[in-house]
Amino acid sequence: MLSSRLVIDISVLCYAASLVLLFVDAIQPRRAVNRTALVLLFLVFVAETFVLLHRLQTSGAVPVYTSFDVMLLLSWLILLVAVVVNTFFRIDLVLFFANALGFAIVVFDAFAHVGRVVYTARQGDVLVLHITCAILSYAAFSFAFVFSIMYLVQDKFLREKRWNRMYLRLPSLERLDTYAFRSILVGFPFLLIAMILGAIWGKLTLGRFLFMDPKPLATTLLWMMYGVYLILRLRSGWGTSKLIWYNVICFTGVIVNFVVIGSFSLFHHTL
Amino acid sequence: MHIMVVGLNHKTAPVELRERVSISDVELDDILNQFRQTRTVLEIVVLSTCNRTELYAVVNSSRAGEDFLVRFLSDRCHTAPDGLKPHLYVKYGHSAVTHLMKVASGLDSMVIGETQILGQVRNAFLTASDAGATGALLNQLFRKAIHVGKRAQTETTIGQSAVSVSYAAVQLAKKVFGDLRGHRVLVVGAGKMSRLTAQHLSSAGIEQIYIANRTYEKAEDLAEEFGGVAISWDNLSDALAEADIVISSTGSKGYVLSEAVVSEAVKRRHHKPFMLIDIAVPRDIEPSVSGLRNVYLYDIDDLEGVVAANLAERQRQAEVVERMIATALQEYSEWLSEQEVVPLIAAVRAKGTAIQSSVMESLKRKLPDLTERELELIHKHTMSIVNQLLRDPVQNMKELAIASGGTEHVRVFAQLFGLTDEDLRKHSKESWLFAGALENEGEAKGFTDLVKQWRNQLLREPSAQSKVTLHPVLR
Repeated sequence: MLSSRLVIDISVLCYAASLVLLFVDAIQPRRAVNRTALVLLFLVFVAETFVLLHRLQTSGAVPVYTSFDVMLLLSWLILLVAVVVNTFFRIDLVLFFANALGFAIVVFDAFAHVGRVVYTARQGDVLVLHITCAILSYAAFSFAFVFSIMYLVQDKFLREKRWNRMYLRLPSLERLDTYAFRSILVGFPFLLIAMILGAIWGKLTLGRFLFMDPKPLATTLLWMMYGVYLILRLRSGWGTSKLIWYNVICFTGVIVNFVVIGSFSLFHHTL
Repeated sequence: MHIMVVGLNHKTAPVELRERVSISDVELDDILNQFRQTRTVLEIVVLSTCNRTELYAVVNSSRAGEDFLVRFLSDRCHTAPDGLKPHLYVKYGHSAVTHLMKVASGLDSMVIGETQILGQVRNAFLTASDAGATGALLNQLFRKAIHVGKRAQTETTIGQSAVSVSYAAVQLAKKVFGDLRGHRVLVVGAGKMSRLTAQHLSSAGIEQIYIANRTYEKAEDLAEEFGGVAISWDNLSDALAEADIVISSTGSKGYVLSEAVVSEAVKRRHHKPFMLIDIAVPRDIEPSVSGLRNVYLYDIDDLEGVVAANLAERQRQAEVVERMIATALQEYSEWLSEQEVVPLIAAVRAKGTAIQSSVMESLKRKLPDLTERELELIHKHTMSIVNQLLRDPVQNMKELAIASGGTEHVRVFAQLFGLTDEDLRKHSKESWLFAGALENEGEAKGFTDLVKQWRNQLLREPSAQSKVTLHPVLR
């Protein structure tokens, strides 16, 4: 445990350094800077993978039963997807924006000490699936948020007529909007599946459906908020900046649901 | 031995001349064969595109080579060599090499950073090498140049930014709408700027172009040219609601599109992003339009700003490419120097091995009772003596050759190890080596004289220590 703590601390440092380099690269593109940042990111990725595997080994179960693990897994996913997207789809600057979020999650995870709670009443596969699906949907919503932020930044440049190098590198508004839309399109069904699995798990372990708990209520509300986004987006097409702002608000909903609502819930504790 | 290029391009020659000189693919094989049969030109690559015709050659004598290549070009366009010369450039050594690398990476093109030229350079090289017209020097040179060209494309964004006002409008539209296919454009006014912008837009993939003009006939003319649709002036507000991008460049004194008209159109298009580009002076579109939600309004100054930013960006990227070229030139020079020293090293090694085997022979004669295993052991150890003795000299020869880019040391080292020119030639695979360096100098010089001469030469070249030295072929 001590060694994995050390690994996490080092990886947070690496992550911070890499983020600084990515920022420098966003302002003043230099190949060497970009490469160094990528190497550091890879180190962070390896470190996080190591910690996750280590926890898998020590606990003997998939590391999703504590909120610490869940957040680590989430940031691991964001990092993985960002690197893959950066390599294969060449969406410039996505690495910087996605990792700003990933870094925030890791730092919160490593130092906030909220996540030492172990979930009670483990019930095998259904619960694991429930949590995994939830993490996947959160990761997808994170990317929708990241793309929305990139959209707003690019929109600001276009409106204020600031033709800097970041403007040159950021993709077009239409692309960014499409990426955000697709991310939500992925996250939406995952959240639904997670909710259904959660309900089934409740039925199996407690013998009744848990509807009146704050967490399922808040999550349903969140799911409906994203549903409204999808309907509006499908009806009016891309590009209304109001919808992008709505998307950002939805993501704050995700964070509130993730961090705050969990503490009032009987069954989710801090999550 | 000289690497040289003779050619003309869009900067030096008018199109009438370029088209007469240019060489089609059909003729290319014959011409390459023709060059192969001469003794003046040792290696050749012919690069001929619509903007340039260039002959890259390795020649024995620079004067004869230049005369020959210039005559070849002037024969093609039936002009006297003197008449053609003002339009030609002739470059030798490192400037020829740098020129090729600039061409391959698009720095020498009409539109800086264009990518087509790299494929043309590659094809020219492959055709020449298939015809057997190239040798080691040009093979390595073109491989290097093509590599640099690829790097320029993948590692920099040179050639991706607009440097004219009308193209800057297209680039802006792309930054909002992404792929322009499937989007509609309304061009208001049928003047020169409108035509230019419509041209850029249609080549960027826009298929539906509406053109509105106060005189309907002019709109029709322009519409015909781009396969667009002419709109009568009265239907302007309807067309406005249909279009995603509006380009306005009328000669009107007042605003053609007021805020009220535009905001009406925005409502009708359900607040979808709307880009208005006003290239007219005085302006056509009321500036307060830019305050509307989801509307992007740009005037001529904004476009100039885009162009300035792009030019600065290109300049930065071109500097990066120039650095790549400088590195590649240095690498090529090192490769040349290495090639120079390779036969020397081979000859030195061969001499060592020869001495060792003669020692083994005499040992066998003197000690006939040695067993197979003992002989094997002795062979191994004597060989090890030879190798250990030669390791440092060989290493230093290589390093000195690369650092000084010189061939002079080869002669000194050869003498030091008692090797004759014949020995060196036996070990050199490439015909170009020693063709000049060893034959020109008088034979029968003592080692002391040679070292004196070498020292004097080193003293004469203070640059040898201060800056990077290139191989003599490139100087």
